[in-house]
Amino acid sequence: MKQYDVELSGVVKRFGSFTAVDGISLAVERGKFVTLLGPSGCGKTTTLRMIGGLEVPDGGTIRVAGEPLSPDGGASRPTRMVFQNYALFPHMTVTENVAFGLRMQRLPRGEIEQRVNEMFALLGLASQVGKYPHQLSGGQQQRVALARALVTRPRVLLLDEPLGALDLKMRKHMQNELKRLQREVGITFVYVTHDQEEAMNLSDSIVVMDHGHIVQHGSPSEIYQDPVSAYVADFIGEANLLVATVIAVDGTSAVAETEFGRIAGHLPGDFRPRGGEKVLVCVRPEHVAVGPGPLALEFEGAGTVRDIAYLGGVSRVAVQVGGAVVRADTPGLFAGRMADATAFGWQAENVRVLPYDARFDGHVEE
Amino acid sequence: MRRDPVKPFLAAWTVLVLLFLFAPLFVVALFSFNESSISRFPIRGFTLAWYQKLFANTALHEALWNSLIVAIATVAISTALGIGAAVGIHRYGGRYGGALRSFSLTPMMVPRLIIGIALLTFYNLFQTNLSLLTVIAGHVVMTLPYVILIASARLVGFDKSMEEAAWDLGAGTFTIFREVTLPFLKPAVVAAALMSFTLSFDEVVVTFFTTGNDNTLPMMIWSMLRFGITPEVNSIATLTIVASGAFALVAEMSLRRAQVGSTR
Repeated sequence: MKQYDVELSGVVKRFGSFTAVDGISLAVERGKFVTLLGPSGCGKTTTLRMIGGLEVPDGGTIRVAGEPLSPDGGASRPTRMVFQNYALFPHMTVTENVAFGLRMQRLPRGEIEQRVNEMFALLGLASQVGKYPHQLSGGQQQRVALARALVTRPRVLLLDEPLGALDLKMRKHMQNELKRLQREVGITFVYVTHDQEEAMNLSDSIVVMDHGHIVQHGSPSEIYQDPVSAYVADFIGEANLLVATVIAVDGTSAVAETEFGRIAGHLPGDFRPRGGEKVLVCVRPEHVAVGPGPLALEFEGAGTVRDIAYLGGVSRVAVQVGGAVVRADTPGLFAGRMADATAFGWQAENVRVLPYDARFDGHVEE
Repeated sequence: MRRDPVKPFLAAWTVLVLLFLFAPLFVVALFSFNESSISRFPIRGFTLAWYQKLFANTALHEALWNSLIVAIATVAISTALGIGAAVGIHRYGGRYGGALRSFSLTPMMVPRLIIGIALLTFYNLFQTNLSLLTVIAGHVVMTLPYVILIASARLVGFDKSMEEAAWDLGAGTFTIFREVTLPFLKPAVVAAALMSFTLSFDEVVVTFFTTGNDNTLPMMIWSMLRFGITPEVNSIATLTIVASGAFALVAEMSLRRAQVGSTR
């Protein structure tokens, strides 16, 4: 039987007239790395802070390790938080910072020392013990914050955009470090970020949030391959979103009419549009082939090359088709030129037909 | 480097301002070592006689002792109250915090004379016996805003997530204050304490209205002036300047450390 370390049910949080979290339910399996992903203001940090007990929900229930969350503090709480800016105590040395939580648990001095040293070994901090936080680099401060939280052996570690303050290279490095750490300590990590690449790299499962709601919860591959909405498709990876009108629905697939032809594709989840309904057709650029026709694909169109960007591994080609633009990623250097007439196309299995969302109407024309 | 035509002018101006500020103090110090009993040039010769006379004056000892009692009590009370008030406003003030803070600073803008009169009226109303206690209460009224101001300035740089982190690690409200908030405020506490001490130790006007039979050092100096500015007054003034200056210097250094510290 699956065991859940964090269970949210109908959780609501308001700040004045603003509803930050609007009735979300979520279950996080024990020992998993789960990421709350979304743009700023989507409610991900508020959700994390409620799980950590730093905010009290206005409605719903939260259970951590099977127990209802208590509003009282205390050293026996099941969660620990790693803050965005680390929130290290500036007047304490690295050792004192890491030992703080154990001191609050009133452990004997010998045990505190032993556990702190274990953490230093785990995180490679042994040479920094006597230093103060301001003498450390960002990455080292990050490690101290992780050590300070993990040393208390929480059931669940909460991480609030912990890599946001680091430069790109350090961020990549710390991502791998975090993955390794989570595997080694084996506890549940709930991670908050707005960086979809980070979420993909780290997580066992991703919870995509939008305006206080959970839009989709699934593994990185599920979220990427089968987005339930244009919002998810657009937020995770790149997506061509083309306005279309449904002509026929057959089981989990549909055919929709765009201004440059009929496109067939899969329907996500339980989305079953009616004939004549406005939808968005989603194709990832890497699934779009471009070049002189015919391409021998299930869908083929013709357009004009509007833009070519060489990205190293691939070239991104923007093809103008009537009022729409279709972006295609083609390996290596693209042979065509600007304003060339070109064919483009894809296989139907790579197409998703998603509910219409005005926010993404005309998205590709920008 | 770019030539700046204003530079020599500004340099001269600075010297002039410093001269204006410190020349009188220097003259006082100079005459305290003058053999002649009249504070006038030319200087007759070097002597420590006035200082010896000062140290032999028992009334002065008592006044100094009273001043120290008042100043130390003022520091203890107004630092404790002011830090508490500043933390309270910062943490629970919400959208009224700014207004509350400004309001609590107004006594700083009220002339000391008015504070003195108001206190005396207040004490009379409740038929309080004037003593060092009433002086201390008066000095607290006078110094409290400075403590709140200094502590509030330090708290602006305070990252609330530090308190949250301490709570998250299992610390209670009191432990959080003692182990996280207070250490962060330490430079401000030191600066505020020294500032209150200096203000209280020098105060004449508020003391004048609120004291009974007890004399403080500045009151004593004031009464000695009735016989004109004697070299004895000059020597006591010199000692006070040196002591106050040392205090102010430590306060300033502590404040500077606070500012550097807050940038982490």
